[in-house]
Amino acid sequence: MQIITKNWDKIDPFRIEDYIQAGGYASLRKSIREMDREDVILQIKESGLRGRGGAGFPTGEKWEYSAKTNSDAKYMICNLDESEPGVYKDRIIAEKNPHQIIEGLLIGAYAIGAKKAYIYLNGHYREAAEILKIALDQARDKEFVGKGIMGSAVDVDVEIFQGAGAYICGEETALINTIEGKRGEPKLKPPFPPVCGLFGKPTIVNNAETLANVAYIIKRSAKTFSQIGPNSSPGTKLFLLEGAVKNKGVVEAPLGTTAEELIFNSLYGGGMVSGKEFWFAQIGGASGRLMPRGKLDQTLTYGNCEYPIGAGSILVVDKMADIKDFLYSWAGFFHRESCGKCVPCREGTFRLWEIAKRMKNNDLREKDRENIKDILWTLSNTTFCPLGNFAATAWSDAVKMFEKEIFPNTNKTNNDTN
Amino acid sequence: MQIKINNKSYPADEGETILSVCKRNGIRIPTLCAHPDLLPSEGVCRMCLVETNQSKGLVPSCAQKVCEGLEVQTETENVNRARKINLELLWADHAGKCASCKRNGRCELQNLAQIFDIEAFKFTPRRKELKSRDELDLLKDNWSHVAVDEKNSCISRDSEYCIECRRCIRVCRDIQTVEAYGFNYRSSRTNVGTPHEIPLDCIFCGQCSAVCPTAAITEKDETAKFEKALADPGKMVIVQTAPSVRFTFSEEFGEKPGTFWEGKLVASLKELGCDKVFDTVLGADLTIIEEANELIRRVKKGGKLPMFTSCCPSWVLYVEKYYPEFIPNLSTCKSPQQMLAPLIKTYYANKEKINPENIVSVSIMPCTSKKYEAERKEMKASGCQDVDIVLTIRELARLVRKNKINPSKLKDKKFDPALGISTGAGVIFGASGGVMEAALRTAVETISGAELAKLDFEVVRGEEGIRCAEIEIENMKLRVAVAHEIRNAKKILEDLKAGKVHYDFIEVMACPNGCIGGGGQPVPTSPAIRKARIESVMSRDRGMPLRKSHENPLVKKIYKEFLGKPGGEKAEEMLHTKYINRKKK
Amino acid sequence: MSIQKILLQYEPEPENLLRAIKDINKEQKYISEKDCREISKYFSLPLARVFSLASFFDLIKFHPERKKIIKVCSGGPCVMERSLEIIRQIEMLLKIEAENDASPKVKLEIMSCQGLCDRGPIMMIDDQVFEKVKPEMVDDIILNYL
Repeated sequence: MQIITKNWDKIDPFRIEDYIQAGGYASLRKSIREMDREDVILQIKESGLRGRGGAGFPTGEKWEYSAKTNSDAKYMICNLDESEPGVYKDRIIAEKNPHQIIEGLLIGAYAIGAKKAYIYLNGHYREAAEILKIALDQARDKEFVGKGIMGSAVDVDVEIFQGAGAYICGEETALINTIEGKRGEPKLKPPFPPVCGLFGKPTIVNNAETLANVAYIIKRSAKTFSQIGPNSSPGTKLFLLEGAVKNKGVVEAPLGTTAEELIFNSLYGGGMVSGKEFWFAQIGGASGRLMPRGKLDQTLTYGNCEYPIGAGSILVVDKMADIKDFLYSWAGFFHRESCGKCVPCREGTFRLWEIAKRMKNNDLREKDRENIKDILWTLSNTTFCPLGNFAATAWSDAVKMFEKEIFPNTNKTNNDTN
Repeated sequence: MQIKINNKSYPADEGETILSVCKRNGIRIPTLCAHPDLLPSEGVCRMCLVETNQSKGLVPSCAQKVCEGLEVQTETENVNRARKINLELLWADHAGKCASCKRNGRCELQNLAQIFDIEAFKFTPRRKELKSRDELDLLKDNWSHVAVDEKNSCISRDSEYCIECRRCIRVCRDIQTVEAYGFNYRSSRTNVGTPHEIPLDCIFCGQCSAVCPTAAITEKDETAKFEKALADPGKMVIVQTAPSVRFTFSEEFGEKPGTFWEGKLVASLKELGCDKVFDTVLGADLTIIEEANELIRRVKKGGKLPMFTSCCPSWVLYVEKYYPEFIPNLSTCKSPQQMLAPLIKTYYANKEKINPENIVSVSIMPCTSKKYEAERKEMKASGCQDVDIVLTIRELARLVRKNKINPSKLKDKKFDPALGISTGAGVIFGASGGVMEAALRTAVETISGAELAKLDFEVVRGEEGIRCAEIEIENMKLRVAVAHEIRNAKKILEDLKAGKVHYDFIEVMACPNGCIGGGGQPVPTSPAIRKARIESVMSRDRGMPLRKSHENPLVKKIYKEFLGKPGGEKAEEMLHTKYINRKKK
Repeated sequence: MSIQKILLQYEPEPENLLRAIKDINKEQKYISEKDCREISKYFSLPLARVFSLASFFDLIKFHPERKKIIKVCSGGPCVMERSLEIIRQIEMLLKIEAENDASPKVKLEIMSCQGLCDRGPIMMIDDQVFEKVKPEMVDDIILNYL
């Protein structure tokens, strides 16, 4: 089943004609010429599309909030910041088929009544920036972007806004702050962006992959889309297969596929690299949970599930790996990327990094075990924004699952201190 | 509406936060970033977390609004665990430093650490004080974190003590509109400080030091200089004390806000060994004579109007730095501190036959900016620096405690009469609107030639940010305005520029509610505390036998013996000053 | 291009602030205090606000870089491809320590994910990106590019 990756081999990202030939911008035309804004939102709502950035919030519902809010200005933003380690799917979409994102963005802008849209691009993405820029210019030439889209009275201007290197800017309120010329810190919610976002106006922030699904839904109907995958979270998803798996890279699979299939089915991962034995898989990037062998049959969906798919990366780790390397990697990442606004995240990630460095040098101290527990708890429960939770997720799992590897000789000391 | 906190019912208003309901009802919730002057809170310290029936996890009570059916728990296991861990994380950098800290015993973090029984060294202290070799490795991550600024005359900063609560940023940005501080960098390199670590470039109002919960931002300490002067037998130490500090000194010793301690303040200074204690209120009376005279002259002779008061050095500096086009509007009168000081080194020294070079002139102020004012090059009317040392009331209290003096046990003493007789008009300088009211008492009587039936100008009192009134004197109308906090003053300046408003006389004080809310006043501060201080000021004024500056017999005497006429040549030389355009090109 | 010229390309609106900062940073490799003042004046924003925004981001620098900066990604996929070994190799070869500023000539930094996981491990020397680096290649890269 292919929605996003369908025409990647046929399309030259530098030629809008290729995209149009493959049926591109027909959905935009259909939306503007044949459908009311309400119809578009209804279609998206009925399709059951959920955000592909991680939280999995129903896209149509989100759009409806903004559409229903009266305001002289509204904004539509494509979130292409993905800075999660191991996640690069949005970059690939942008590099392979940029118009797919732009079309979804334009349909969204039309649906909520936004005259201005932004593509918030990761500051490190140089190629994608070039490609998107050219794609936008071409779309503007063809009158898909700008004043009076395709001869209608609909105006949507699209601008690329490139960040400058900060993970937290993928959080929607932090992203909005950045465009407003403020530090990329998360804001207090409520108010929520769909009601009060960029410059205080209703604003929709959608992940790029989410938007890449929109044209398909409008073209093939909500029903067709909703029949792919499970009812509660339909559609396909880009997964990123990484680590000790044979076929690494981006694959598209219906939601509801199990991790086992993704890793071992020859359609996707094709199994472990020869000679390597599966140990665990991290689902969803550095902020994702660790899935042991016994849980591989879990289906991956949005909504309530034990192992949230996040942005969709699956890092397969084999038994030769050292868990301490990963703890070091995760702690370092979140320590560098904490925005510094709230105490538990700023101080907690720093202390965790300090401990991870000691751990790597086999220099854990007696107090560290207790401290890790406290820090993980405060990160999971008291931080200002979800980054704190993210920082603690993998660590918490690792501490539970690999206690022996992490604290090889602490059983004794623990008793002593007690 | 009614909400439940810890299973008890309490009334609450729509739009209120959980924290505000708890505070009102005496329910303990620790806070570090929340401050009653800085609302709404940002919710960054995560100390005030509580559990509610409305959401699964912990919520910040400072940001969470009340709603119908709300039930709050403030002492659950999770709440206490959150408080404790987050405190421990902050405490790591403070552990072991209290004894030598300026804020020892008056530090909000220290208080909480005591209440919540924080383990002293749970995490390795970082930043400056590293004790063992393995801690040296941590240095590289955190070195950039520490910024020390001693390059200005008023405010000391040491980010070693900073807990990034951002109160200083907010008070400077939201209340004073100066925005000297920023939240810089990211993650553990986060630093609250000036851009590019430049020395503080602001109006030195010191509000940042008044809201700082720790010793990260404090008044620049000059107690050592003061002690040295006291110990020098060849020096005569002459002190003056500002109108407002007699109402706040007591708070440093645990008395409730508004406790009037003039006699104990004088006694404490004498106990420390000061030779003479004079009253800045006399300087205030002189200011009124000169300022009222200047106002009348400007109004009658078509001078530049509106005239702005110039007692507040932060306000003066604000005009010089940001709105220099209004410099001609500033009254040329010096502030009370700078009026009394040259008289000490000339008039008084002459009379007592003391070599002014042997006088160390010290002033006790509610204000950090006065330190800067004393250093201005223009302030040399006596031939040398008129004021040698300026201490905030906090510094004085520290010194008093250090010398084991307990003011509450001291017998009240009076100001030395040579320069120590004053009126209620000068006393009310301490509260916003006071200079205006005092000036009106004198101006109206001077213009009309008749005695005022009622001395209280209630229209210019109060806590509103901007207060306007029209005062009728004989057949003319005087349009006056009073503003406190720079944000309100800025609004007036902008409105004046746009021609939206017209005034003749405007009083501005940079700090909230005037000098009683000064940047050098005891901490903590809050609207309620300042209200109590104001009430005390007003009641003192009502109780004074003399309430008009021009009726002060000492003022009359000094003019007769030394200054000549108000606005005359000698008065001009001693009591007036010039301003400089300091706007960044 | 002079700072003024860069600034004049943008309307002095807050949403252009980061763009202007990035352009100036690109042009001169860092933002000096003087530049910061120019920016603050052009956008009519307090200096503190400009600096606080600029210093938030990894890509904006405030001092001329006198050292060679080597960066290695330590994201999960890169770790699986032995990026930590690459770091150790560099440490040994240059006798430096990651994240330590002690060496006057070169600094080794651990970098956050650049989203190039399909081409990892990623190593950078200043602005040059090296993809699919193996620990064995480190000596060559350092020899030829440092």
